[in-house]
Amino acid sequence: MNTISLCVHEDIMPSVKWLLTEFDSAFTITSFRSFDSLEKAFKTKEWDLLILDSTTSQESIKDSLARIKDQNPNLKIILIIPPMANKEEVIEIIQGKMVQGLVIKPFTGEVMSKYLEKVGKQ
Amino acid sequence: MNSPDNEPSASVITWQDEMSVGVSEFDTHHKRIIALINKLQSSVARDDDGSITRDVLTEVSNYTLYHFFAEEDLMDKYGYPGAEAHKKEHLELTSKTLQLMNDAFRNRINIGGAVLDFLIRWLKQHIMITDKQYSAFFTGKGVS
Repeated sequence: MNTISLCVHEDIMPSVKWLLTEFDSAFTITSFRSFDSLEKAFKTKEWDLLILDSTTSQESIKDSLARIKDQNPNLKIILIIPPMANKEEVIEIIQGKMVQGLVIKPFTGEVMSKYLEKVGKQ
Repeated sequence: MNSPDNEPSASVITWQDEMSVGVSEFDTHHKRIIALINKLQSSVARDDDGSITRDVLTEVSNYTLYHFFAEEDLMDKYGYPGAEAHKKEHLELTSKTLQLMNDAFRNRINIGGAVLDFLIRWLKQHIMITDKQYSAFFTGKGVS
């Protein structure tokens, strides 16, 4: 992994960044404050990994993921969802193999670190 | 809710060697899930407002989802013939887990006892029957 994009809310941004730094310092992390700004950046550059908070998107997260994947077919995605996420939509995302990891808030560092280790080896 | 007759003991489930699926990584995952289920049991017993239980339930759910992704990656890598049925069971369990999360966080339902029952039943069924079915396949592929 060389390029990681991070689109999460302010409340978890420091902890996710810290976990990434602990995991490996050999990559570049770019943070986006909104899904719109992330989507614009994804049109002009290739990325290896996206850690995406589903609540940063104003529309269906499944549709948002589909557009991002269209632009970056090899992109690995770890999706963070709220505990009250739309169950049917999450199941469709898993069935469609749209993400390589799924994390429910509030999460511990343990599970995010394990995903980073797993995805980093792929 | 637990009745006095089925009050949970100190450890509701313990790892036993017969639970091994022959893949050390997944045995480690199962042991961790068992530890988290026992942690959930402890939190149910001492949690007044349900907040600790909700946090531990999220921890169990997250680790279980991670385990499912890891198992499915290995199945895809080696072309496990039972992958489709196994993934279907994962999806059903994920759906149930997401429903439990909704109940716990949206409706603030006291989910402790019901969740414990579900998790213990699932763990035993999934490890001892479903996961055991891939043991010979992965061992034959040199995965240990």
